[in-house]
Amino acid sequence: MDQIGSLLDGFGSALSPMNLLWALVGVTIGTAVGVLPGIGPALTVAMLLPITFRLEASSALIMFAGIYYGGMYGGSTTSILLNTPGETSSMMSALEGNRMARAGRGAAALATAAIGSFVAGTIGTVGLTFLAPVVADFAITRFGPEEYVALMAVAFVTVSALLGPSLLKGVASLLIGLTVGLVGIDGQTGQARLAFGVPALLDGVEVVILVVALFALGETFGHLLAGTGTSTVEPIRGRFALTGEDLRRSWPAWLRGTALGFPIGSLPAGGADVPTFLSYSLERRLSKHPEQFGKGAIEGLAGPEAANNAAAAGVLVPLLTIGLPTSATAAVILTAFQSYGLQPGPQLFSGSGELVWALIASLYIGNVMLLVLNLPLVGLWARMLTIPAYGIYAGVLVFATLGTFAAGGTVTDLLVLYGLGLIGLLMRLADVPVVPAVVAMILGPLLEQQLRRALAISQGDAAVLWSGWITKVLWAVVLLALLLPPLLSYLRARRATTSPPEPAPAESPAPRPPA
Amino acid sequence: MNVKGVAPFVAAAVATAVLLVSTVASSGDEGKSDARAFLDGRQLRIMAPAAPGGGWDQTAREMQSALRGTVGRTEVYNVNGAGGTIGLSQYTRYRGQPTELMVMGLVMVGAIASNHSPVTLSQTTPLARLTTDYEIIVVPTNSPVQSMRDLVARMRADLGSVSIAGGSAGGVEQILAGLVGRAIGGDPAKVNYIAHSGGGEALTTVLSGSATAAVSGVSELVPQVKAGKMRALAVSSPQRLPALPDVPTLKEAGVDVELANWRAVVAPAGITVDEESALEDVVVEMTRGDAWQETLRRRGWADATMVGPEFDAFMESEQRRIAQVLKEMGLA
Amino acid sequence: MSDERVSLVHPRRSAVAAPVPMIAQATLDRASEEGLRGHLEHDRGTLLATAALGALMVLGGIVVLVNAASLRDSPGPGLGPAAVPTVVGVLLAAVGLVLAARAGWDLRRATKPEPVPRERVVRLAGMLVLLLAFAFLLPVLGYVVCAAFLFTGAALLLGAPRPALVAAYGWTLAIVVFLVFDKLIGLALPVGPWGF
Repeated sequence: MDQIGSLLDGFGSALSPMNLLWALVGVTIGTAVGVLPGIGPALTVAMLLPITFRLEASSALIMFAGIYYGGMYGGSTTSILLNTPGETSSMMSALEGNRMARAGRGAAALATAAIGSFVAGTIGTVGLTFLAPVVADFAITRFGPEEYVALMAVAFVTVSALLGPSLLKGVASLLIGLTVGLVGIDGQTGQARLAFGVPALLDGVEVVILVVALFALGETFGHLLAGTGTSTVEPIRGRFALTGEDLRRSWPAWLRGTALGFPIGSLPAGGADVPTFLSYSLERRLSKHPEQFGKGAIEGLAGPEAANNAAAAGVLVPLLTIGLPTSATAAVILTAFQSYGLQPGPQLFSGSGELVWALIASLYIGNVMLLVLNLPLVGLWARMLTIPAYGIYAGVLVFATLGTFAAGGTVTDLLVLYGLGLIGLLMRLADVPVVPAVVAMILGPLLEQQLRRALAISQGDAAVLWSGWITKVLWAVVLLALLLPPLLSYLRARRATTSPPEPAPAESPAPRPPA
Repeated sequence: MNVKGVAPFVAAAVATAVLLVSTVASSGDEGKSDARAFLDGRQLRIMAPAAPGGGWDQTAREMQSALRGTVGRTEVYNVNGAGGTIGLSQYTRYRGQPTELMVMGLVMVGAIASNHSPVTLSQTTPLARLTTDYEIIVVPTNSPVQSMRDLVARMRADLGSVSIAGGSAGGVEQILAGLVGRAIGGDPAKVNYIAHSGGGEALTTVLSGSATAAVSGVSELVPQVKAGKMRALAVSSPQRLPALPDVPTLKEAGVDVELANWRAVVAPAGITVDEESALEDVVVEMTRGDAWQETLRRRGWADATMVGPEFDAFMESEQRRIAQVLKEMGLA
Repeated sequence: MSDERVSLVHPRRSAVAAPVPMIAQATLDRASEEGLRGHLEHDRGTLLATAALGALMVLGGIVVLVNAASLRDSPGPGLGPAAVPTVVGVLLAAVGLVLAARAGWDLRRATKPEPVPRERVVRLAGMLVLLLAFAFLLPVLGYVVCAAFLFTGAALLLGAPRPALVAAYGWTLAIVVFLVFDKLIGLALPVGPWGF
C-alpha cells in the first residue's frame, strides 16, 4: 500500500524536532483555550489561525492540527466539570459527565473522555489514512438530498431518548429549538424569516449562542436562584481515576462511538453533532445500567466523547478529498490551507502530498501528546471544582460573553444571548429539558433544507424520498425505532399479566430483565 | 495581611502595568516610515463582510499582505452574514473615516436587492474593482448531458425538470441560472434552482445524481474538472479561460450571457475628494505590485482593476442589471 | 434551578427512567404521570413556570404564523418557505396551550411551595441589569473595564465575600483576556477612550 510509504515519509517530516515542538505548542494552546467555557474548538482554531500564518506551511499545519485536536480535548473538560459546553458536539458529554463530576467522579469522567478521545481520534485518523478515497466516493456519490432527509429522520427519532420523563415537555423543548432554528434568511428563497428587520438576526442565531445561553447562563442563573453561589463540589472521591469496572463499561462505548462518529462525520453534511446524539441514544439503549443514565452513567459519556473525536477525523475526509468543510472548525482549516495556496480537493494528495501526509502524521502524534498531556492533568483539572461557584461562574460569564461577541461582533448578539438565557431559565424552572432544543435547532434546518431541495428537484413528487436503496434502509431503521419499543413493552406487559405480578416499572428501579 | 492575601492585588497591579505599557507601545508603532502622508501614521482596517475562507475574506487577506510594503500593517476583520449586508450595515458607521475599507462584490449587489437591505451601496465611496472570477456550469461525468446545447435543449423542453444546484439564494450562481433561463426564452422565475450554503455542498447534490447540473466559481471547480469527476459544459467569461482552454463560453454555446463575479474595495461615504484619490492611488499601486500579481496567478483570479468614473458607471449598471433579473426571478 | 433540586424533589423520576426502551418509556411515563398526578406535579413554582412557558409558546406560535403568512411563496413545485414555519407555529402554539392549561389545572391542587427568598429574586434581577449594562457599555468603556465590572458584579451577586479581593481578580482576568485575545491573537475587542 503506497499510503503506508507516504505516511512514513509524513512521520519523517512530522517527527523532526522543530515540528514536534510546534505540535506540542499547538496541542498545549489548543487545550488551554479549548478549556475556556463558552469558547469551543471552532472559535479557538479561528482565533489562533493568524498565529500560524507566521510559520512555514508544514510547521503551521502541524501546529494547527495540534490546536484542532487540542481544542476538542479541552472543550470536553469544561462540559464535564462545569456543565458549560462551548459547542454542540460536547453537549452530550455534559449530560452524564457533569453528573459524574458532581458525584465526586470528575477525574474518572475526564479520564474516560481523554482515553476515549485518544482511541477514537486514532482509529478515526487510521480511517482517514486508508479509507479517505473510498469513504469520500461513497458519501459523495450516493448521498443526495433524499438520503439526508432519511438520515435526519433517523436522528430525530433517536432524539426521543433525550426528551426526558415528560413527553409533552420534551416536545415543547424540541419545538422551541425548531423555532429558534427558523430565524434568519431562508436558504432556498433568500427571504428573511422571524428577523423583524434586525440585521444581526438575518443570518440566524448561531447554535453556539443557544448552547452558551442554555448551559452557561442557565447554570449561573440557577446558582443565583438556588443560593448555592458559595458552594463547592468535592472533586475526587476514591483512589483511582478509572476503576476496572469503569474501563469495562467504557471500552465498548468508545468503539461504538467511533463506529458511529467516523462514517457520519465523513458525510458531506454530517458534522460532529449528529453522531454524538446517536451515540448517546445507542448507549442508553444498550446499557446494562440504564437506571444510571441521567445520574452519571460512564458509557453515556464515553460513547459521545469518542463519537465526537472520531467525527473530527471524519470531517477531514470531505475536507481533504473534495474541499468541502462540514463543520465550523473544518471551514477554518480550509482557510488555513488556502492561505498557503493549497486548494483541498482531488488533486491535493497528488499535488501537495508531502504536506498532507505530514499533517496526517502529526494528527497521530498530536493524539498521543494530548493523552500524555491530559491524563496526568486530569486530577488537576478536577480540582478546578474546589474553586467556589461564584468564582467559576463569574469567569464563565466573562468567557461566554467574549465567545458570543467574537462570533457575532455586535451588542445585538449579546442581547439575543440574554434573551435565550432567560427562556432557558424559564425552561429549567418548569422542568423542561434543554438538550432537545439544541438538537432540534441543529437538525431542523438541515431537514427542512434537504427536504425542500429533494422536492424541488423531483418537482413535488414525494416518492423520491424513498427511491434509492440507502433511503429505504434508513426509513426501515426509522420504522424499527418507532415500532420496536412499543412492541417490546407490549410483549413485556403481556408477560407481566400472565406471570406472577411484577412491580410496575414506574414504581421500581428494577434493572432491565435479562434479554 | 499575609503574603497570600496580598498576591491577587500584586497580580492586578502587574497586569495593569503590562496593559498600560502594551497600549502605549502599540499606539506608537503603527504604520511604517514610508506610509502614505494622508494616513499620518494611522493603520488601515479592511472589513471582509463574510466568514473566513470565502472569496471576500481571501481578497481582504491578500490585500493585507500586498499592502504591507506600502502602508505597513493593516488589520483585516470579518463580519459574517446575509450576503455581506450585515457587514455593510455595520460599515456605514465609519462615515468620513478614510482608514476604514471594505471588500465587496457582485454578491453584495444581489443581496442588497433581495434582502431589501435598508443600507445600500450609495452609503459608500466606490474605490476600485480588483478581480473577477467567472462561473462554470458542470454535470457529473456519467450524466447523459454531453454539452451546453444538450442542457439548453432539455431546459427548452421542460424548464422545471432541469434542476441546477449552486450557492446561496440570490447569489451569483442563481443570478447566472436566471440569466441563462431568460436568454433561452424561458421565464427566469421557473428556473429550478436548488440553493446551497456553498459551492462544495452544491457539488455533492449534483454528484449524487439528484440535480441535473451545478454552477460554481471556476477557481473552485478546476481541480474537479481536471481530475475527471465533472464534465464542464460552459464558462460565463467573454473568452475561453486559460486554465480550461477546451471549455466553450456560454456565448459560443449559443446562450447570450456573460457574468463575472467581480470583487471590489470601497471606502466609507463622506470622505474628502483628496482622501478618495489618495486611497485609489494606494490600491492601484498595490495591484501593480509583484505581490498582488503573484496572488492573482496563485488564486486563478483575473485582474480587473478599474477605478474612477469608469468604475462608478460600472457599479451603476451592475446594480440595475442584477436588480432586474432578481425581480424577474421573483427574488427581489 | 440547580439540578440537584430536581433529583431531590422528584426522586421517582430516575426510578421511572431507563428500564424500558425510550419511546415506550415516554408513553409509560405519561401514563404513570397521570396516575401519580398530585405526587409529581405538586411544586407550585414549577407549575407557575410551566404555565408561563406555555403562554410564551402560544405567543411565539402566533408570531411564527403571522410571520409565515407574510412570506412570498416560491414559484416552483415543492415546499415553499412558509410550509415548515406554519407546521412549527401550529405545534408550538398547541403544545404551549396544553402545557399552560395542564399547569393551570394542577395549580389548584398544588401544595404550598417552599417560597424562593425574595433576596434571590432581587439578585437575579441584579444580574440581568449587570448583563445589560455590560452589553451597552461595552462599545463605550471598552472591554477591560466592562469585563472586570462584569466579573466582580457577578461574583458578588453570587455571594462572594471580600469585594476588594474579587475586584482584584476580576481586573486581572479582564486584562489577561484582553492582552491574550486582542493583542496576541488579534480578536479586535472594543476599546474605550483610554485605548483598552
